Amino acid sequence: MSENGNLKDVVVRIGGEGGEGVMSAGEILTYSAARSAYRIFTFRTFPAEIKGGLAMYQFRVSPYDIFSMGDKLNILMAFNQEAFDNYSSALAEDGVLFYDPAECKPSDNFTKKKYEVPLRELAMASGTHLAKNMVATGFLTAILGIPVEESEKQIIDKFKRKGEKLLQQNLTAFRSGIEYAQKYLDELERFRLGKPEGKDKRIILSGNQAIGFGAIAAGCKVAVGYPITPASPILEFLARHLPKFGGKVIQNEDEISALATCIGASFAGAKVITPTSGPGLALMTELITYASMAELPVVIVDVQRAGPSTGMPSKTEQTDLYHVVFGGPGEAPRIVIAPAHVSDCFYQTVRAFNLAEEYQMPVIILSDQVLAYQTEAIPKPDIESVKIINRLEPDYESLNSYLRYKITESGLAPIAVPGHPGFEYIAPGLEHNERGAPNYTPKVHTEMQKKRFRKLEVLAEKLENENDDYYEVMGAEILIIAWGSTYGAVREAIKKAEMNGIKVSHYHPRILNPLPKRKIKNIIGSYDKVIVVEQNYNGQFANILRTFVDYNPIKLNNYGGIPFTSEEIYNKIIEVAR
Amino acid sequence: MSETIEKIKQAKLEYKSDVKPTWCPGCGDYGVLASFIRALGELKIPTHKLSIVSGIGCSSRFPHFVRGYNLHTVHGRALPVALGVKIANPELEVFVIGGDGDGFAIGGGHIPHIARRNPDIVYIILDNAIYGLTKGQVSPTSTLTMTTTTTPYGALEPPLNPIMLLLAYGASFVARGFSSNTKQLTQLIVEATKHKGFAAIQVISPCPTFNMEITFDFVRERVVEIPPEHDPTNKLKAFELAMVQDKIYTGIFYREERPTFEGNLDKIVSKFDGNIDELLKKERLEKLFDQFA
Repeated sequence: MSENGNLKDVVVRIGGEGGEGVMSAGEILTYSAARSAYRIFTFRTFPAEIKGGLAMYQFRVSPYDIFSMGDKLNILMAFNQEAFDNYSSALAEDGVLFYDPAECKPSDNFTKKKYEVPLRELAMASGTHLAKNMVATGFLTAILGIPVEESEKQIIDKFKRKGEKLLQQNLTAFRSGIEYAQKYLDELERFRLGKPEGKDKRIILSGNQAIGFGAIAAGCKVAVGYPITPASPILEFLARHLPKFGGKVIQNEDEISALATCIGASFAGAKVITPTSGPGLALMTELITYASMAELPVVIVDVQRAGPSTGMPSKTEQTDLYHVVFGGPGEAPRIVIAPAHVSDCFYQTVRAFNLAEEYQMPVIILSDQVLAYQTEAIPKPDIESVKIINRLEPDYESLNSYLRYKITESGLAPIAVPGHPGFEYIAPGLEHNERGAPNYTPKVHTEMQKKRFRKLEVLAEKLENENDDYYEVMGAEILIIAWGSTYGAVREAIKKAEMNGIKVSHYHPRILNPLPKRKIKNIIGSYDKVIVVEQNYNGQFANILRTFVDYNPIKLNNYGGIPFTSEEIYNKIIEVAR
Repeated sequence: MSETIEKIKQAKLEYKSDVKPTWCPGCGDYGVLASFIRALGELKIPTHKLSIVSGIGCSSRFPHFVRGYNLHTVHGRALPVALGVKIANPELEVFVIGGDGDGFAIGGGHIPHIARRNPDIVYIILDNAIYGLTKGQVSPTSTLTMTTTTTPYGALEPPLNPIMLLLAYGASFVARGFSSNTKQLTQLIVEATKHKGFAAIQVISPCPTFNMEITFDFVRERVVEIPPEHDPTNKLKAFELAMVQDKIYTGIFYREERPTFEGNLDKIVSKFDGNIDELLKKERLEKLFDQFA
């Protein structure tokens, strides 16, 4: 709570029958709030059936920075009985229920505060029962104190193409919702949001969309994929928008060919991306090692989902780490990056392209189902600040004979782009000499393995001196190490612990391979207790740390398919602090 | 005559790399390599505009022996790799060269999709009806009952018919050659390269080491050129010729003109005037961001 007794942030869930406009109500509210500089996280589930079934839209809104979806609901807006039955238990102790008395009767044992909102009746009065979601939108706009004119603008944008009559009916419904809310305003003052910090207009993106934007900003020219939950929206986003930036997008016949086409295009000089999930990644694995061997830049996105095998495609997990770091025939260097939140998805994707170009190897972006679908109001990315790196090409005027795989100190040699006379070369999957010709001698294989891995060492050495991923708290005795989408829950758990007098530092590496080993040893060495938080059974990153930096941390794991709550992490902090 | 010999010499000088073929003496693939180099000479394709892509197998070593911007990739994936090369730089002359196992077994799933997309790529399949690199296992074009190291009691599967497959999948140019008839094969490669679209040539290229059934003599006895009156735009007739089993027809079975895949992709980009400079790119990106507010 802030000084005036208002909540610092509000978690709202709207639930109803699929087709009742639950999603549009949520979208109008969140986009209006984002345009007015509020911070937003959203989460939604669609009914399993194409039509009908229970749908919900949840958002957390705050004038201040927030990092996650939040744990418990402050407000539940139930359009029907099913929404009440399924969601009322998610309400916080002091949470409130808004319900349509025509559609829903809260059970007798429901003891939290409840308020009637006659959605259907007010919608009918505005001319159509279909507008009950607009009544709810108006009602919540008033309760939360979201600027009315922004919500109206959203409604006008949404309905202007559907005719004047429908637009007016919806606006009337919206206004009647605001009107109806007046009688509760005093009693529900605590839900009114304060003025947002800062004035920056925010845009609402999902992690998948932010990755798509990152690819465009980085100069991606070819994207190839195969549909798979939860990665398909990246390919869909690029299919729609990449051609506007000179890019070509193909849905291929499988994931193997998707990566194959990317590799061919990269050889021909294009920046490339292929989005997939675990099962698709498994099919790509042989070609990942080919790209590593032939030293071609490619960016692969693995939007992790719960496995093994088909597992739970719409649930989340962080279980492909071993696969992306170690998987494949032979030992093939590759870079692994895990973005931590939606805005990070944009910047880490640009970085992935840059690293692929600079180090001439596959870069795998590890996202997951939660990060993929979660939307967040983020400051518009600063395109001017985005640095683009292109592959090192040879001096085409040079008369020296070109050695594509020349053994150098950094392991790097220039890549010739096809079309330049005198620089023809072959990109081989076979072990090869400096020219690319097959060679199986122990000397050449040893030297070439060293050369390829040296590139990773060069990068690791650079990472030793970067400190962006380390959130150090002076006087802390506990360190949490986490990666990927657990970032928000960890940040909020640490905030909560701090309010209760426990200081906790946080290390959240974005690059998971290679690792800056000395830096990690130094960080770990400053703490009594180190907890590694991750969503898998084995503690994959914890075990990697054990292997590479010889440290055995406390593990906090969750593998049910649902993301960590900050509560779970906070409880572990308390337990460890004792 | 001497002029022809001079041209062949010139082509060898220009296109042959200094990596020597690893094929067995007497392998049909030598004839295909010779024909390929002659065709390149005739087409005057500069080596820096040439890209040969292969998978794995004896014949897939091909790109090591010819100068160009080449890729020797993994087993069965040469076609989708080549597609990437072509769409990223349509100015390159892209060839895919590989065997019957690489193309019709492990890589079989890619042929229908490359064929219906119709990129301007030439696919040369060196068909010896056996796995040579792994020393003599059964292949998708081995004959029924053929004894190999993995079918010691005889192959149980009838061979598939590559020409029928290519026709059915929608390849816009389908031909067959024989490695010993280098004159005809050279011309088939020239025609396939000139064809705007996906052009596939099945080349019967016997393996003297591991295939004791489909030998040079066996092929020579059966090989017949497609009669000159055949109309290569008639797909039904092409199917009829492909179904003939007692003869091995060589020549062009089928050809049709269709828009290319890379051309269609470029059309989408042009529709949005997508080839833009950095400044305009930033402007467009800003506008796109604003659509999400």
